Amino acid sequence: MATIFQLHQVILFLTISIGLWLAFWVYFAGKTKKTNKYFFWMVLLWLTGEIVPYFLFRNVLLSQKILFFLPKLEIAFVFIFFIFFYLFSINFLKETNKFPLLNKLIPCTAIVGAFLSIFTNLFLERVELTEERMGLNLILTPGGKIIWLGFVIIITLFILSRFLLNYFRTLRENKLRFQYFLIGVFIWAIINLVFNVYFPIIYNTFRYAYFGNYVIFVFFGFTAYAIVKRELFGIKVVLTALLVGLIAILLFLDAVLFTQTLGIQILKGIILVIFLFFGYSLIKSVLREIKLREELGIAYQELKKLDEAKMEFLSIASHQLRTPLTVIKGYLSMILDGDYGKIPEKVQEKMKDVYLSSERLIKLVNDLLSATRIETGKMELKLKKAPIEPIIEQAIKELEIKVKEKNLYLRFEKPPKESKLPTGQAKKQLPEMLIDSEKIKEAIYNIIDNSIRYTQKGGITIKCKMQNSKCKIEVSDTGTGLTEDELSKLFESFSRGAVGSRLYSEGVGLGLYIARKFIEMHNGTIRAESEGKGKGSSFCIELAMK
Amino acid sequence: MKKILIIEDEKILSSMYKEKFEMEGFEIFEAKDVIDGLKLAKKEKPDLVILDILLPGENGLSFLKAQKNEPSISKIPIIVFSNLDDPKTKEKADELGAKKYLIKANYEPRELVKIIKKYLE
Repeated sequence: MATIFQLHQVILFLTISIGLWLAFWVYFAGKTKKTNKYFFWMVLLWLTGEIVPYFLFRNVLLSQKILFFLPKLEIAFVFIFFIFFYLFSINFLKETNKFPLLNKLIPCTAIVGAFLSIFTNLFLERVELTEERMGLNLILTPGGKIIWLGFVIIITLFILSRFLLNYFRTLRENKLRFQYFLIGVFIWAIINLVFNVYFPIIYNTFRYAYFGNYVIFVFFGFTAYAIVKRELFGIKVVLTALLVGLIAILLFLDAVLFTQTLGIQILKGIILVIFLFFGYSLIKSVLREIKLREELGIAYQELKKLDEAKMEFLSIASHQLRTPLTVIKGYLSMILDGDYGKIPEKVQEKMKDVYLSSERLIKLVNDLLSATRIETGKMELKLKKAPIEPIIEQAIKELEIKVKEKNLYLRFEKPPKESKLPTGQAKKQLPEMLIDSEKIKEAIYNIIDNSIRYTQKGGITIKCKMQNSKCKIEVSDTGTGLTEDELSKLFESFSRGAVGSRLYSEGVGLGLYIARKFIEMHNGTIRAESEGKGKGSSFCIELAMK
Repeated sequence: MKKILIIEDEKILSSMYKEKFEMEGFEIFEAKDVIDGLKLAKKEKPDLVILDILLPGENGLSFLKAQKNEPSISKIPIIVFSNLDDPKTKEKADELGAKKYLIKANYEPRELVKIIKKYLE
């Protein structure tokens, strides 16, 4: 009992000093700021209203009259405390103008409550002197209990919900501030639950209730720190420091209060020093890690911003590039279509070349945009059930003019429309598939386009069939063929087969890369085969049926 | 004669399409921004609207929004015809009821005529 009492006095003394220090620290850190002022009064009220009376009951002989008056004052203090708690919170959250009605209602209710609790017996029924709960036990009237506790609980819940809401909505720096507040409240609540609810219910004792009462200073401490400091430590560091501090205090108290022999005291002192050393390095390492991670986080955010800026720039730039190209392509096609009358054949030939060049430029802009979207992960599929044949036909149609220019053939060997099943039923050869038609068309277009580019004589044959519940599209040409080395590099971005650079210099070689990516986005595969130089090459796409 | 409204701020482009469409026997109205476009749409009640997205002042999406809320023109099919290839804008246009979102540079005037005829049938 003696040691518990001693311990209690030590903690009480510590609490009062810490409380006063916190209050003045915050006050002098921002004398003109309302948040700081309200915090100052909040802590002072708690000290005078909650802590000092306990201290008095322990040490001063009280007359029955004062004994009854002081608890009334305590109830009033709590009412007033909550005015400052509310005002502090809305100032801290910068929400002073958000609840004009509450701003008046809460202080008025609290003042009326405080007044009634002091001058009437509305709240307090009687006070019992007890050895437990540090000397006194307040018995409230049923109505008083409802009003007093109701007021306290509603305001607490309201403030907590505002903090939580702001925590999830706000930006990084403020988020950390609100986190400090919330963690402080959380620790306070947990320890209160343990000592003021769990212990009384399970062990039927209020003996340790004061722990719960004093832990409010953890909350005050966290909050004070969040108000005063511009640069806040990550919450992990603070929690680590808190844990190290707590263990250190326990080790210290154990050595000083509960150890009688000097030798063992010295031994425990040494253990404390060693513990402090390791604790310090632990905190430092946590700090370092957090700093590193923060830097990484900032770098990542900046990269993301850059990425978005790049995409936006590319969207706008390609828009600007396309507009004049649209005019060139449009008028050329109209001239070639004979919309302005017949033109000499020689001119027509040259016009076609110009037209193809404009098409190439348009394709280049499209490819650059697609490749960038793919690489930044911004490309999305729009899946829809669609038959594959018309898609292949569309790609072929768009390339017809190019094929004619080079005097090549371009054949599409379609599978027979229907085949008879053994049962005699007619079965559709190529069922519809769940695909992004635009992207599949572009993939097939790019592959055929590539074949046209590298074929000087002969032509390109496209086959399409179902095999093992997969749709197989094969594009084979009679072109230059590919070496082993070229085959391995074929589908990479910005790389071209060596043949390409010798024979042609058109295109940046994005076509096959985009084709591969689009097919892979559909969980399909693409591969190229060639028996060597001069022996042509074939490309095979396989798409799983979905 | 079917009426088509072209909302396009690039003069050279809009006159190119105007020329082609008139050859195909359509009656063409031109507007260079959303406000003009809405006025003309209400006055002429075209059978189809070709709408650019990047326009001076409000962009093409706001035309789609306004058209939706104006009963007298809300049934007119709209084909977005823009060089802005932005997935988000495409999605918005789709949500706002555009029939198609075409990238101008990918289509010859002749191909556009074909698509238009399909919607006018």
